[in-house]
Amino acid sequence: MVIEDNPMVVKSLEFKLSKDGYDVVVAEDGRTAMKLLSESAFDLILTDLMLPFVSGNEIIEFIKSECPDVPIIVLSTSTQEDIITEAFTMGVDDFITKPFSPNELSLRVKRSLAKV
Amino acid sequence: MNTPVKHILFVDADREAQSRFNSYFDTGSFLVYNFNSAMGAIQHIKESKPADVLIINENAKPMGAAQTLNYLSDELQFKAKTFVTSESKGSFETDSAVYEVLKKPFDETEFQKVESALGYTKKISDELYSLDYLKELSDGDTVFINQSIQMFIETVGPRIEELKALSAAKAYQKIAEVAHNIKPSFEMILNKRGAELCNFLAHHAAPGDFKSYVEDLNEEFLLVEKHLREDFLSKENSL
Repeated sequence: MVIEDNPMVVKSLEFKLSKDGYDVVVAEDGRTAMKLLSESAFDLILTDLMLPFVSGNEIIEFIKSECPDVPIIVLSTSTQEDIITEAFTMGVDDFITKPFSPNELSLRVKRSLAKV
Repeated sequence: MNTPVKHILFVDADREAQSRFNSYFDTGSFLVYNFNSAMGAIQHIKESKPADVLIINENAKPMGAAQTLNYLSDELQFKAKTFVTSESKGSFETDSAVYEVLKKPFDETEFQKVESALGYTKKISDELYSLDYLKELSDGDTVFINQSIQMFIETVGPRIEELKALSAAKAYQKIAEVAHNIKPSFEMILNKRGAELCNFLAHHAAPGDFKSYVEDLNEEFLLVEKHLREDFLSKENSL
C-alpha cells in the first residue's frame, strides 16, 4: 500500500512498483488509508508523514495497531530529519527520500519484504 | 535566501576525492568535516555535533562502511541521510539497510545527489526543466513521461492558485503544507528553482517572506508550464 498525496509521486511509485511485479493500492489521505487498512491485508506500507486529515504519528500508530508485523517504509523529504527520527522510534523499518532513486526503491522494498 | 549551513561528514582517505568534494561544496552554505577513518566521524556523532549527511567510503578504516553503518545505526541511533562512496558499485547494502552510492571519481551529478538529499540547490540552474529523472524512472517510457508532464501542469497549477489565496489570507502554516506537498513535483522535472522556493516556503520562511516567495513560485510555474506546453503537449511535439 502506498499512502501519499502528491499525484506525481503516486504515479511514479505505482509505475515502478508495478513494473517490479507488485500489486499497488493507493490511499491519498490518512482517512482513506485507515479505512483500507481495516478492510484488507497488505504486505508492505510506504507512507508519507504529512498527509491530509491524519498526522504522520497517528497513521504509524494505526498501522502498528492494525497490522504490527507489516513493514513500513516512510516516504520523506530530506528536510524532515526530526520527523523521521521520531518515526523510527515508533517502529518504522526504513525511509526513502522523494523523489526516490528507482533502484534504491526497488532494493529497499525487496529488502523489507524479505524480512516478513 | 538564507538557508542554514549544512554539515557534511566525509569519510574517505582518498585525497583526490576529498579535494574534489571539498572544492565543490566550498560555498559557505556547507561545512565539510573530512575524516581519513570512520573513527573521527563516530566520535563526532557520539559528541552530538551537527551532522546532516554522512558520506563514507565502502572500505573506510578500520571496520569498512557496512560495519560502521551498522554500529552508527544500532548503537548511536544515527539516522541522517547516508551515502557510500565507491568506484564500482551502484548501491550498497548492509544486513539492515540499503544506501545510495556516490560513484568515484565524482562528477557534478554525484554532488547534486548530496545537495538534493540536503534539500538544497547551490546554484539556480538556467534550465527550466529536464526529463532525465522521468526517463530514468521509466526506462524512457514515452507514455509515462507525457502523462507525468500533463500531470505536473494539471496538479501543480491549482495548488499554486491555492497558495496565492492562502498568501492573501496570511495562512502561513497551510502555505507551508501545500509547498511541502508540491515540492517533489518540481524535483521530478528537475526544476531546481521551483523546488528550492517550495522548500523555503515549507521550512524556512518568516511571515514577511511568504508573499514574495509565493509570487516567485507562481512566476516560475507559469514559465515552466509555458515551455512544457510548447515542447510536449502540442500534437507535433509530443514524445
